[in-house]
Amino acid sequence: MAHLDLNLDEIARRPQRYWDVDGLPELMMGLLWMLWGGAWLLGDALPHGWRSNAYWMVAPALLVLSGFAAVWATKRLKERLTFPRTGYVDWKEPSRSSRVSAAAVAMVTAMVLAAVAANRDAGMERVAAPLLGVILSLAFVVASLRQRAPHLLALAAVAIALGLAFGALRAGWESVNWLFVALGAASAALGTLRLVLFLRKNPRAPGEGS
Amino acid sequence: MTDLDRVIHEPARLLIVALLAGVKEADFLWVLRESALTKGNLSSHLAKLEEAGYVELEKTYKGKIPLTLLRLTRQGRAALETYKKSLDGLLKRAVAR
Repeated sequence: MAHLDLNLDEIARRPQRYWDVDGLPELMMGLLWMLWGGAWLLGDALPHGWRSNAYWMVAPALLVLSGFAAVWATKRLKERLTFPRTGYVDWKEPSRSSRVSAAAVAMVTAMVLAAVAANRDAGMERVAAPLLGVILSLAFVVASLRQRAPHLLALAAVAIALGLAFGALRAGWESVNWLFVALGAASAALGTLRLVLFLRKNPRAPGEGS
Repeated sequence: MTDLDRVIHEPARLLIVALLAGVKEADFLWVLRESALTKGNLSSHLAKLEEAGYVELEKTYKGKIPLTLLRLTRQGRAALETYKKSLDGLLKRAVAR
């Protein structure tokens, strides 16, 4: 049974891996991170006054909405580019326990970030970029192992290298924003490359194959 | 061996059912590529699974392109779970002897 179980487990993970087959998720994630990092840099660069106040009233909501927009855009692009080539899949909604776990992780992350932001004068800004680089790197390693996606290890290496590099620049909190911009650019470049290779390898099928 | 569901026990059909168990629905092309079966073979196995009530087929169109959507029914999901439990039990008994 152990051998068969392993095979069935492997088969059960295929739909999840299929989401990542075309490079679109990395491309969209990269664009999103560049937008977030850029938006924060722009906000910090604005002179204090009504413009800055108005910007910070609107920007956070727009950034949250951009996350939903990225998921929507990824699905629409898959419909146009991926599904006609390698088949259509409608993924199952995550289970209740998965949603609760994700919400718990998001809350803990938000609390950690709030604690970090509250200690701005306690020297946290010096370690913020390297720490974020390590956290993102670990997240990429875990995702790589779970999805059997070795290309994510490249992003893990880039995340830690950029974290250390921006930390060494001692640019304060700005380095965190630049880390997002640079890592986003790396992710978008990797996603674009994988998308191009996917499109070349899988020409559009004339019919559905039936 | 008598405990095992003969419809699912066939390796190609087990693969199809296991693939469909991980998604809400998928089209013929995706299952064809993931299973590496031939079109004829896949069609014939799907017909048997549909006949057993394990898989639901929906013929539709995406623009002008025909699309066959495949879904595992509740009965199909239950049959897969029962099959896994039955096989597990059989092997445990064989090891215990």
